[in-house]
Amino acid sequence: MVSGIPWIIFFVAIIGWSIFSVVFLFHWRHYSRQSKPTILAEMIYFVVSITLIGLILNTLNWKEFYSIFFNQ
Amino acid sequence: MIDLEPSEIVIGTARKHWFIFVVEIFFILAAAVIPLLIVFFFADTLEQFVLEPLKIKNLDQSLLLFGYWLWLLILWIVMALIWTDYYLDVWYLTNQRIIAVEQRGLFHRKISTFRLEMIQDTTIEIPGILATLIGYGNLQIQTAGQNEKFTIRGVNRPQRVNEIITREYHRAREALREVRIAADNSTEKSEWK
Repeated sequence: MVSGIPWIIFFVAIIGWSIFSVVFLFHWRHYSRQSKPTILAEMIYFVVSITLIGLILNTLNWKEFYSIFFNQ
Repeated sequence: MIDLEPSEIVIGTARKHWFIFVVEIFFILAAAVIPLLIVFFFADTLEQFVLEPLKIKNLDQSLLLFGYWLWLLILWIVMALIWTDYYLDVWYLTNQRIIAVEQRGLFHRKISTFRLEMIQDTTIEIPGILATLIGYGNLQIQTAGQNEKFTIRGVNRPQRVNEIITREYHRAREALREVRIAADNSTEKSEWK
């Protein structure tokens, strides 16, 4: 990576994803009956999301992360 | 969750047909695959018309992957929204009324209820050959209330849903008639005293 822009994009995406996930989970807990399909849908949502976040993190340059955020 | 009255029981639920969900998901899958197709089959064109004008040389592979995984995460969130809209859009038929829940996005939710004896007529619409073959359609119920028309689009087996609603409507009307006769009889008796 040539600049820290991907890291900034990543953090914006993580904040957006977190807000969405909280609202999404609230909806499922509040409006739907807690049956097997709803719990399964929640589990699939979080497993796939976290996998994708892991894949995004894998493409980022960690040395750059330390140099940007810790001045090392 | 839907709050039911003490003597109320849920007889059935009506949802959109799974085909409606699959069609929406198809567009998400297409949006996920298109970037891969562009990179694999149109790499030269991409370089000639996008990268060269922007003066980008030797595009970093990890940057491409970063963009693609991020794109998939966005699509995954959109898919979760579509699933929420599909799953929480539902009609509950109880022994007293119909509760129509319409989910439009995460923050927009409309819940309408109407009593079975308020139903005036019902309309089933099967829009096209796919709907005929797969078995979905639109069901519209006209009531005597303020919000006259209630529609559920793309409902699974609309004829069957309509049959059950009509049966429950007749049962509710009969029950109402019996209550009125009993009330009239008791009024007559009290007048004679």
